[in-house]
Amino acid sequence: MANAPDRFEAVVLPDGVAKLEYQKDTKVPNSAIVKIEREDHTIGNLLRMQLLRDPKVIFAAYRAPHPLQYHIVVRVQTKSSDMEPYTPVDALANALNDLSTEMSLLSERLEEEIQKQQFRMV
Amino acid sequence: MPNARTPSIHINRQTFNEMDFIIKDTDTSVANAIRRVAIAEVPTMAIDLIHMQVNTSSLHDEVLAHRLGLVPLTSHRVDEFEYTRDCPYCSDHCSHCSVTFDLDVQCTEEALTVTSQDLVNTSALESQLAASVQPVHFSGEYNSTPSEENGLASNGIVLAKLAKGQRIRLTAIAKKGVGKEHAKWSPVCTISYKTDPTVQFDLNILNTLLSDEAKRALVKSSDECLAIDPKSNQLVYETAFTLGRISLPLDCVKKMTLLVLEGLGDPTQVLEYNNDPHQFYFSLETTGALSSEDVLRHTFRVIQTKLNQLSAHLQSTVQENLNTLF
Repeated sequence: MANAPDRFEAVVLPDGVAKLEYQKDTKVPNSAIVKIEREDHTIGNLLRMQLLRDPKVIFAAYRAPHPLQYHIVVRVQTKSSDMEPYTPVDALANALNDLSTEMSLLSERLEEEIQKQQFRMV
Repeated sequence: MPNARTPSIHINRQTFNEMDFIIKDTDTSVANAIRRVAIAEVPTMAIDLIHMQVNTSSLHDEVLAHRLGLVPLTSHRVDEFEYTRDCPYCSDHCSHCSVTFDLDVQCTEEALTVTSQDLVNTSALESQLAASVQPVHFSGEYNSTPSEENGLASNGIVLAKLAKGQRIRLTAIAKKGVGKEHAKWSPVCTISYKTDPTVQFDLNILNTLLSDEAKRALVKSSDECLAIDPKSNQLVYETAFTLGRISLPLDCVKKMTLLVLEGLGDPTQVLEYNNDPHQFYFSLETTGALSSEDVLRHTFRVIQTKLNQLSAHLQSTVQENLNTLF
């Protein structure tokens, strides 16, 4: 295992590498490919499922290209018109925002539940 | 928040290192993220570097080092530690990013067991923070507190066994890390979730529609998922089924279809199929490094931080490349 990569490489973002790379897809309208560094299925699947809940998202998928390449690639396509512009950036921002509020809600409810548990024990 | 969900959480059972809880109204992706993050991305402290001074025991240095690494260390103040690699106070390691332990045992009698009790925290005098990191000697059964009487308190985790004249002397440095880098940093022994059984029958319809004979035939093919209540003569689910341990076999579904058709009913009304679970029954057990509620707190926070960071990165990347992107 002399050539095995260091384990911390899966966790630490190297200097000069962008966490997120956004690329517009030139072949399909309103479509983008986003490369997210040092993330895996945890964020990939979370983001994909949340994007698919958005009625204005036509396509959303992710892949983890290789177990030793510590990044994921997310592809999003949205419904957009001149009247109602909705870019993949908007869709991603909304999805991230929604998930973040979901997590803060879970945190809050956990604290409430723990309070209740302590009350039950007394 | 256009498409946000409003999940709720309910704790069924909670002890220091175990918790059973339910998360409702959310998606499998969220449940799985919680599981994955609790295992691999919640930081704790663990021994990472060892200076072996004397080792005349029968264990090789690396075996001993590995065993020491796996000893859980109490990490309730882990947030106040820096990761050694980005510690602003030092170039190697210091009290802001590490805790030092000494182990010096010599066997003068016939045999001696070296345990986690022999690890001495030498940074404890430097700061309260360092003193908060201690080996977890015992991680226990429900409600039993370790005491001298039940022999649990004095035991500790066995690290090595020495024969007469053998000696181990070493310094161990504990650092902050996450389970993704090495499993010794994982705060959980187990975290798993399950969903409601996917195929179910509407027993009300079956009970009104089927004859007693048909009910018995159905129970026979159900692999003990179903039973007949002797008092009311009605079909009921067995406990193992309601707990999600067993599921209805295909033969039973076929049998039900036939029987319902014979009774001139509609099998599609009876069959309940659930391919979009929204209730997740979690069970969690920690190593003792963090309390079960702390593991969950940290998990939610880690996911949220990740998402917020991504949001910020998305904004800045788009701002920078506004001209080329659109």
